[in-house]
Amino acid sequence: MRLVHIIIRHLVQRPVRTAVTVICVAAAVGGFTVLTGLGRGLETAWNGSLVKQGTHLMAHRKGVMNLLTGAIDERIADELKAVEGVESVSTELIDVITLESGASVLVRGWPGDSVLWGQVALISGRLPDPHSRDQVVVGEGLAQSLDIQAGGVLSPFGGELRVAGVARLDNVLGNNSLMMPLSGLQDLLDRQGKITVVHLRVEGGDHEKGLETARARLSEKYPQFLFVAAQTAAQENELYRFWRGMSWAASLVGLIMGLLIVFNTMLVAVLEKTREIGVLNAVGWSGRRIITLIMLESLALSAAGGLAGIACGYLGLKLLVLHPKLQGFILVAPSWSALAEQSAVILAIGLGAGLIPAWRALKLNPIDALRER
Amino acid sequence: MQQSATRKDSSSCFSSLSRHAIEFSSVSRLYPAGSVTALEDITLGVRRGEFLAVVGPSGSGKTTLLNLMSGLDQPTQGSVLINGAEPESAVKWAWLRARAIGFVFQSFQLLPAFTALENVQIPMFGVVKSRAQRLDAAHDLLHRVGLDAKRHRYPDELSSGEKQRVAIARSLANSPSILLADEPTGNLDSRSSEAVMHLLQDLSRAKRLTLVVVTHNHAIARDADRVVELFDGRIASLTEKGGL
Ligand SMILES: Nc1ncnc2c1ncn2[C@@H]1O[C@H](COP(=O)(O)OP(=O)(O)OP(=O)(O)O)[C@@H](O)[C@H]1O
Ligand SMILES: [Mg+2]
Repeated sequence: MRLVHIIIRHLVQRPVRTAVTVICVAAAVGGFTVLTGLGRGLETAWNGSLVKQGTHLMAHRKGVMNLLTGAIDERIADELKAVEGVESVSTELIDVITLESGASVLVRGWPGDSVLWGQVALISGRLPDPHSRDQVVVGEGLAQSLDIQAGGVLSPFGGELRVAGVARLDNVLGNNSLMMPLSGLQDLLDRQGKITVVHLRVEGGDHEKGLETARARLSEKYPQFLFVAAQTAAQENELYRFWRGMSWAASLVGLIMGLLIVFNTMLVAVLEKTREIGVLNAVGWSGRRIITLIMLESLALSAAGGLAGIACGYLGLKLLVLHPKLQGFILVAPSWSALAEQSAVILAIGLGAGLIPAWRALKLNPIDALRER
Repeated sequence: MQQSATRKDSSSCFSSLSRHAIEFSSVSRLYPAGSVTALEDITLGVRRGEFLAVVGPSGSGKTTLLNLMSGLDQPTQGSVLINGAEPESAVKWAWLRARAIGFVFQSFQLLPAFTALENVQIPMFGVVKSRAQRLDAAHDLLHRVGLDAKRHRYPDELSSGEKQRVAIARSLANSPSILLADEPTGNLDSRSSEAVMHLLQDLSRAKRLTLVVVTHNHAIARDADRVVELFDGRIASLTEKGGL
């Protein structure tokens, strides 16, 4: 017999309580996994896509909560091009539109000569005619989920968009969006002459130092714009930060509930086992060993629930991102940093919940404990 | 009982000059709640390897005496020496209970969720390092108390006499030099009483243990080397076997 056998025996001795506790912790950690996973997935998808398409810095209007509502005059492009150290400039108008089918899709407008078109590898059909008003190319992922091919028609709020081609892009965001000539999208959205963001490539932009220098120079010259690095674009987004704050708060409430459940279970276990703890004391178990036993029992509950929660959380995430409203915006992939966060949470619940019960066990008077019926 | 001067036991690491396994000097135990004096000014030496019986009416302080011997309780005055040294901390007492002092209770105090074999292994945690050795030792002990066949039974599935035999096996788990028993036959019928007492005596004689047994049973007291009688927390008499 080992210490773990004692712990397992204790846990299976009260199966209902153990199960309920484990389920509660699983729910708390599962919620945490889903909420933080969504945020992380969004970061991965967004930042990763920006980096992949070659953006070093992205500029958008300052002081808007939602990046998509910020409008910039498209003529800024020529000015930015002239700034020292700027290699190339690509303007983009972005919005999310709802199709008649109910799916929300990201639609992106690029000028006909934009380098952004370079990432579009057609797998069927052709690129939209640069002067057309209603031709789009659909990312492969989106085409699959909308079940549409070249030659098909999409209907956003009464209008009509013709699918000129289907293309494969090597970034999630692109692969799950509609791309069309800028002027066409400006007409569609009634935002003539306006763009949402500017993508810049700068000298030395592949290194942090070069990027920072360019960013500082641009920020000084154009204080009305926010220049964000592609790698951290999501984290610097106000709306995203707000959402992440909310999701942390919600997770935290769940985690605290989980901790309290384990705490309660362990406290009851110690009170119930008063006599047994007295016996352990009488046969020479040290205080340290008794504390270890209780802390490990608490950790076992938290780990069992936590691991189940992580597994369910990932499954939930995988299903969640299949939802048409989320598809393409979120990339779910297990990561070390997520695992480290989750392990820390499990450890914190287990240790935090076991502390006071273990202390109670240590402080038991052995003679009173042995007298307990 | 004969005592050989060269005998070795687990207590040999202590000051071996003392011929007493346990020594009480002017020990009192007061309970502030209700200001009860459970023991008053007890001076008593328990010789190595002897069988000492403790008798006395209910409430005379027998259990208190035993609890002070095992460090489960602390005196309010005086000092308790084990093998010639005073354990100065709770940690030291726990260390002694794990290695040098075995305890048998009237109410067995077996852990209900564990089999006989597992119960016997409980004290070995932290003392016997390897799991296989713990298991071997437990098998051996249960064999010695005649419970081989019932080693996988839970306490609920054992008779009172059998439970007490498991408890005796457990008390010997780490080969202590001192065995304390508080009315070990108090919950047993006369047949198993006798069997349990014989077992206790045989085992302690074989290992030359110091055996202290609290009892109401005169037959048990008759077998002891010495009998100490308590009354109202004081020693009323101390009788050598020859003197009976
Ligand atoms: N925790 C306590 N608080 C107050 N008084 C106590 C406590 N424990 C024991 N006593 C008192 O101390 C005295 C001695 O008790 P003890 O249990 O040692 O007696 P005993 O000889 O073992 O009796 P019995 O034969 O009934 O087991 C009794 O008067 C008892 O009421
Ligand atoms: Mg008593």
